[in-house]
Amino acid sequence: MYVFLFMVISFNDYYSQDTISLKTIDVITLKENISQIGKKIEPIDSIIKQQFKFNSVADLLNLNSSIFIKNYGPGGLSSSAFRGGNASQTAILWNGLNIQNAMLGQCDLTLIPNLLFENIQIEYGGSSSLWGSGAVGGSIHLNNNLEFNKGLHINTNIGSGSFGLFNFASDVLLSKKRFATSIKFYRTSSENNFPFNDPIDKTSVLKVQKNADYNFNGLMQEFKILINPKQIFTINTWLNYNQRNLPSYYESNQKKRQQLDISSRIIANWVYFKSKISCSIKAAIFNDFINYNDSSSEIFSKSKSQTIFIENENFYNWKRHHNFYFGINMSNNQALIKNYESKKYLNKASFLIGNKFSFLNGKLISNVSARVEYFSVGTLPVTGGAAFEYRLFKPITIIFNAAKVYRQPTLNELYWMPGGNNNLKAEQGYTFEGGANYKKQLKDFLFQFNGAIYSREIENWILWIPSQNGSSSAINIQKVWSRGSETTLKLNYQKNKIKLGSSIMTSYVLSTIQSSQQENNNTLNKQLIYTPRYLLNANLSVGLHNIYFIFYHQYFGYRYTTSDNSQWLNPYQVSSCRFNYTFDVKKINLSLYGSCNNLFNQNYYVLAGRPMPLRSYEFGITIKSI
Amino acid sequence: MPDTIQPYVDLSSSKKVFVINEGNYGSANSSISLFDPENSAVIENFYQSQNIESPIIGDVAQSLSKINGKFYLVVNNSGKIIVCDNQLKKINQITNLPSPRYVLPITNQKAYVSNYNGNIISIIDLNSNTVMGSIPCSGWTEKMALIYNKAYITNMRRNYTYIINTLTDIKIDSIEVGINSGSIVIDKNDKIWVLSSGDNVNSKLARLSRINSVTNEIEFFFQFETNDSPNSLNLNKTKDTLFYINDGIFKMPINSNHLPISPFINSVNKNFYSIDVNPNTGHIFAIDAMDYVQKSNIYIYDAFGNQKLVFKAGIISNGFYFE
Repeated sequence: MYVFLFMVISFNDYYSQDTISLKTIDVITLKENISQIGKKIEPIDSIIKQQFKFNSVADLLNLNSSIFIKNYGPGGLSSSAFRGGNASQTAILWNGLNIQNAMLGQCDLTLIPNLLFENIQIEYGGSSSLWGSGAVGGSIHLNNNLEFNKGLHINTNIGSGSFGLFNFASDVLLSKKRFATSIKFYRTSSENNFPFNDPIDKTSVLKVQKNADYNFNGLMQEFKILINPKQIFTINTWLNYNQRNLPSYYESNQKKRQQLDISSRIIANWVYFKSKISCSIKAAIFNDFINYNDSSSEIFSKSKSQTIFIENENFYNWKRHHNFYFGINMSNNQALIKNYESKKYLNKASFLIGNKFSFLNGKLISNVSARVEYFSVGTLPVTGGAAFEYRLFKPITIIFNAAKVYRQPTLNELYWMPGGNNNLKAEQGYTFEGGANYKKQLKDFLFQFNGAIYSREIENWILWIPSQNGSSSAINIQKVWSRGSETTLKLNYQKNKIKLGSSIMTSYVLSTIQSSQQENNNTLNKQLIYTPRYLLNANLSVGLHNIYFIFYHQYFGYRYTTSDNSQWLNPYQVSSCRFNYTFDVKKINLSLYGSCNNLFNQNYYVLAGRPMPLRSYEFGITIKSI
Repeated sequence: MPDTIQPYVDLSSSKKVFVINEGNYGSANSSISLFDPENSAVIENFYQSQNIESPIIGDVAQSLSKINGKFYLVVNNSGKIIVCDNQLKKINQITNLPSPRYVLPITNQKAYVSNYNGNIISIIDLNSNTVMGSIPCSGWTEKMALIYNKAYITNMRRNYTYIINTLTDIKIDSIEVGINSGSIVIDKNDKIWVLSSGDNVNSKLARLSRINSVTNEIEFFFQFETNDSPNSLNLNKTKDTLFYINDGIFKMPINSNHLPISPFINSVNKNFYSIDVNPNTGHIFAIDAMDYVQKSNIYIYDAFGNQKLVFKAGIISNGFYFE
């Protein structure tokens, strides 16, 4: 869990002061800062975030990171494939707590709208010692950052688009000297009846996607109280109600399948801070309810799961720039579905200890951490990590980190009947990363480059494989080695009211199966399914006074659809663009926005059997009180 | 060590084996592999090579039958049956089926088709290749057997095997055999054997029932242990020995008075998905579908359980048609 700290501009400045200027405070997380040492980090900048305000986190990451997003189509499930890992090996952290569903071990990024969060960051690489189980391939940080003393602000957005898309979102912020609250509401719905070309029936005219409509609703509220200059109390509440029909592309007889996802998440956080000490106590309760109905197949599945967290973390600045920290985390997961024998529980308690060091006048920063954990089913490894960051000379920083990472089995993997296996071991392994960051400002030009290479071996990788009666069993079956590189190159120009920018992000992933317990297995040294070796994301932006335009182009390489690499999907390239025009009318700020997706009308599939729309449009208006 | 596969298939052989590979649900990557036991050779994607103009089978190839010299390839999630000549070249297609699974020929003119959903047995006209009617039959109907003008229909979602009078196409009776019964065979004495896999979630034990085909009564049944989930019931060449999967492969004479205790073929490092017996040789063909997303391994064992050969077929092989 992370600690909210009020800081004056930077972390170091915070520790140099005994009192805090409330007018200039900025809330960041100390633990996030520590976890980012020696890592490749991709913050989503405010302009980009604004452009994707009414899209999902899946859309945002798909276009602005080197993560491969497995997308089942608009409104469909989206999950992340981080550095050759799977969705369960990514930590999705809301204000520092993992919101992955305890039964499934993943959460649907389509159901998370960007507008709920003030700050979104991508942390590449494993950090199990800091973030716990699941932070194997990387972490996605979704943070709220309510500020004091900002007055009253109201934003409303109405948007529309192709295939019956309708967006409505509104948020109200009331921010006083010692108290701040915000409420955000959103609704997104779509008929989602887009046309597509059928790769099987090539002679046919365009087909229309059926039974794919969706309706997503949510509400987030935050209260923050400054009890006194040393204490803050925050409560975040997030409610979701999402309905969607699930299409089936190849079925001749379209069946009605529906899924309802309801979730409620509440975090209460108390933070105490002084010049050298800060601590936090956090309690949270996350509930997920998933109702899947397929009447034609007589499948009526209802599942309820709950996760309760209690966490304490403490930071002590024992010497200038040296920070010692420790904490405990206790969680209880419980879930009920008819496929379990009865209500099932997982209890976990962990102890975290670590230290951040700074040497050579801040040129060398390092962090060392360790975590021991008790797990009610089986044992979990002792994990730890070490990270270093060295500023070679002014524009160049070299990074390195090594860590032991793990993922504990999910409730379904342990208890699903048939096939669950309560003798499963945690997936675990080691990860290493090295890289360099370069940043240079030349007059009006800013040039940035960062590159990283990594290697990660995971043992006891869990797979569901066939067992009796055509059902499946979860087994620790294979060892996977993921290695690769990532680069980000950015060039920006800014003068007066002109802003020009470009960025190119690349990813090369080789994620292969090193060993398997199955006889006559043909997967050794083969690439994992749906893990493209090559990925490229490029964009070009132009900002002129109050008009902003950005063009995206993406390339995704071959995605194998079988583990023996005997079948694959061809690479695809897709382009899109977005614009934004902002102007003021008296005390109201208006923003017109629009986007065109799949600009060149490409026929493409991210996943087999899941058609993506041809060219589509989206537009809307945002009204903001100044 | 298994023999090496030779790259030659004698298409004129009368003993060929067709392997049905259902592929991944929703991916339309079904295929048919052609295996020549005499040359130990296999052709992958045989249907595709025979139908170059329209090579895609569809989503989830479920079964293959040969009736009146024509192949009937059932494609479950595409709701169709592809009718092919004896070289597996497509000549027609039967649609308007809810979710077809298996075809049971009743006469030269008509056949029954079981369905995953739709709560019906479809009746197809084998001459016009159209659906000519249906018989209400609730639940997920699966494999079927025909004897004395009666069709016995297994059911995965009901506790019963249903009986249809094939002269009137009317359901006439039902026999309680337990939940999840998907396989059925008729032995040399015209006794019907139905294997129910049970339901471990709801503590319903699996059972193997023997039904008198004249009186339609259960003569006896054997109950399996808790957590057992047997499937894929088959008979040997002389129809006097049963085989089924229960993790390993078990063998049981039809006159046995108890279930076998230990497997006839162990499943060490294998995950048997389905088995079938080649009526020409008596060899047992066992499918290991691996992780569902790679080519299946087909193991061939002789009647004594010795492994004779292993070869690769398509994604999730689920059954065979033996010529």
